[in-house]
Amino acid sequence: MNHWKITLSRLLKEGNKLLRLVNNEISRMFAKKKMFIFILILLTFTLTLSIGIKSVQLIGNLPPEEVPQMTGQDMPMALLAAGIDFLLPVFLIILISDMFTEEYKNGTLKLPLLHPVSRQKVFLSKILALTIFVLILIVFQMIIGYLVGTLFFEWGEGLNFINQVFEPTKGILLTIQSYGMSMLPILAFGMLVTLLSILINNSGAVVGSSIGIVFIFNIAGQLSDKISPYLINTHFKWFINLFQQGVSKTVIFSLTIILIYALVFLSASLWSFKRKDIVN
Amino acid sequence: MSKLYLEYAKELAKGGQLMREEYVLEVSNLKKKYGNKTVVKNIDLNISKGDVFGFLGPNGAGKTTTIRMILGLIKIDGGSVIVNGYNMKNNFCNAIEKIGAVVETPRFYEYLSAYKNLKQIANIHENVVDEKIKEVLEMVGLSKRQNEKVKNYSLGMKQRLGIARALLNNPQLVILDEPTNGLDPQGMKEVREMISELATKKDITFLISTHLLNEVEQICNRVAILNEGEIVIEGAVNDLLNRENETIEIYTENKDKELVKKYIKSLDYAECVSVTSKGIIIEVVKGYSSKLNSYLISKNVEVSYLIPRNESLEDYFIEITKGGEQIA
Repeated sequence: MNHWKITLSRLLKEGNKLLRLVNNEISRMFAKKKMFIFILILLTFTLTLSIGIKSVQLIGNLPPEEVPQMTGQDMPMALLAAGIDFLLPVFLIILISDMFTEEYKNGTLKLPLLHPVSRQKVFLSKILALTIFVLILIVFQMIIGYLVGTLFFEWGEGLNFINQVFEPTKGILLTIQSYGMSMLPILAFGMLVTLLSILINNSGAVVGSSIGIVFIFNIAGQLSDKISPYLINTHFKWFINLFQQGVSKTVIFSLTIILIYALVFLSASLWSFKRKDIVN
Repeated sequence: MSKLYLEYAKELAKGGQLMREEYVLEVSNLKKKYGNKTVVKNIDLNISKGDVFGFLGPNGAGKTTTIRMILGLIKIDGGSVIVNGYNMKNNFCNAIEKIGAVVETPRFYEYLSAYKNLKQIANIHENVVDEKIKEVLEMVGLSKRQNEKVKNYSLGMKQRLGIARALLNNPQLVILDEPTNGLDPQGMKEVREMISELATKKDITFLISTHLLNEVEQICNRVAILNEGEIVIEGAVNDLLNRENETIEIYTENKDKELVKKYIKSLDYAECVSVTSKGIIIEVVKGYSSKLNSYLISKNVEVSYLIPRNESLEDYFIEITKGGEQIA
């Protein structure tokens, strides 16, 4: 019994230490104001999309059947479909290069490592903080989608997505599910970027090569149907499966690919981080 | 030498021997290779409680690499580091628990205030409370500017803040890598006085890497001289400086210096080293300089001045390494 108590108290102590490290990461990132800039960009993106659609609706001179339809309930899904494979990966790349490469370059990566905390824990705290940042961005994008959408258009009678209409409760649930699902491939891609940011000591090179990988994967996916299913970016929009019938096999395949990317690159990143010589 | 240094030297003399056996840091056979080049070669260091240990060497001698290995920032290719009885390799958290360190120029989250920088480190430790942050800021004289962003700090302030950060976890051993690098003379003096004060008042052991010989002479009681990745000599600073002979220079009006040299040659307690434009440099057994003076006067040699030349670690370093021109 005592043994369990000791183990539990040690676990709580270590968990507490990890949480304090995560708290450090989050407070630093907010102090740097990058997250606020990302939120501002998402807001601009939402407003631009809304203004564009509204303009077409008002002065587009299009026949009624071609006028784009939009409601407050549709806007978050429209944003997710339009921005998930471009904006969020770019934000993620910048965040990761900041947390690893920039800190290494500035000589601040070593600061926690000079104290009684393992490298594994420092690494894990950064990954957890990253997950929280992605969650914040995704939740913000969804909320701002509902707000701006309703402001520009009207709340509407339900969610209209891929030629299907869902009643409001079901629609909101599907929207939340879609946003939640889209976090997974983004974070799995983030693990790949993390490995690069540990191996490369120049943040410009990390951002450049990561964006380069997104482009190469996109082109490779378009050129070859055989390669495409194995590329992580192909699964950025796997939430689409929620809106299709009889696709459980596709969902499982996507999930497998996402998890393989996440686990392989997470392990490789941790391995590299634990062995990295900190000379800055 | 300031009063503070003298007090500090007395303290060391009182307590140094008693604490000699207890090693805070034991480094054995430490090695580091980059490719085929061995940059640190079998370094052994034993630092006792209460020491202010100078790790002296020219730039590129391997001081920072050794410190980084001691702190676990870079892999070691051989040897071991034991802190307070804990091996850094197997028991990192316990070993580093009571170490404070500033490696090279102190780095900070420049966009945060001094207080928030220290708070980041305090958060890692369980028992470091806000009062401790205030206490260390007070110690280094930065209390009034604690809410200012570090990017606005001068290098001297950053060095002091680095020391404050190193003191947050009540360390037994503080490792400072070139703590006065880039500081003006006033800043250097302040940092050295701070180290001496902490060593005496807070009973903190220091390992200080430096390429400045006078720094070691002023604040360290022990020293290891590192050259090309190897420790050339290690010992008590006083022992290294306290040699049997002293060097003096006599200024004389006598034009026939060869005759003076001849007189000196006949003595068994003095030896002529060289002739200068104003006089002669002589190495004399300690305590015999007044006897030498009387002897020369008895021989009608007009001695205008007799000036003792301070032996310094610099002379010692040059002597044992046959160089040392990079030493400041």
